Amino acid sequence: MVQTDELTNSPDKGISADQSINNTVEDKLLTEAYDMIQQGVFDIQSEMARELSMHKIESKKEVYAEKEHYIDAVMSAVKKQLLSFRKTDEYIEYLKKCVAKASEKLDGLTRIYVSRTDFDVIRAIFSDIEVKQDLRIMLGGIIAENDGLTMDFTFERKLRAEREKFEQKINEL
Amino acid sequence: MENNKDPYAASFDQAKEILLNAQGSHGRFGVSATAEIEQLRKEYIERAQRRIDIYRENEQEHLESVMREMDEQRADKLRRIKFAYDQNGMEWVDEIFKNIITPD
Repeated sequence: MVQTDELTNSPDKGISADQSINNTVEDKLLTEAYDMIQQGVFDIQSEMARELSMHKIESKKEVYAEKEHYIDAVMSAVKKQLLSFRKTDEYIEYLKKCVAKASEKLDGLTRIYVSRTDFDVIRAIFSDIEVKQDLRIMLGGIIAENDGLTMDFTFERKLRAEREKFEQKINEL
Repeated sequence: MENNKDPYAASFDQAKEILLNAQGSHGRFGVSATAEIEQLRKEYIERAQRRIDIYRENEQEHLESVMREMDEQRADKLRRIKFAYDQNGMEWVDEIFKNIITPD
């Protein structure tokens, strides 16, 4: 807080007794000056707080953008690995495991949703289960269903979950 | 002739003269006091403004110092993230990939 002592304790400003301004007038002038200082201080504080806040936001945005850059780079590399993985026999084994797990958890399966790319392969393997294409499945995996209950084994869902975990990890750095 | 003036008229003239003098004095005093008040006000305002300017300078310095510190922290954080990525990027990719291809 700015002190107004300099103003209030100032020596007589050369006002002679004959021309003296009474205390009320002087008090009024001091109050005016004091109010001006208070307003000035308030304005400066608001201005500085605004400037600091904007700087903080810009700073956070920059860090956020940089983190996103690395997260995207990692996720992009993972997607590439997943695309390669889909072309292997291991992927078919993975799908079989997913179906078995879903069947166990859901107590049987009535339907499997797959990507357009996997449709023929899956239909050939699981001839006793209805297989349908789901355009939302792009990266791979399945959605298994039994009596209205579903289990999502898609890479999309897993990738989203992994991304959240990874974002948390990066934030802790 | 003056002595022969009607006493009533003489009194009236005297009263008029006193009133004019008084009005003149009052006018002069009023103008002078107002000017002094204005001068005093101007001085107070100038001094108040100086205080405000000093306060602004100090606050600006403080703000710049806080922002510099903030910038250093940000640069440090960015360096740490880059270093971690350079060191562990491939490991992170493999780990996430394995998590995904492991059935829940």
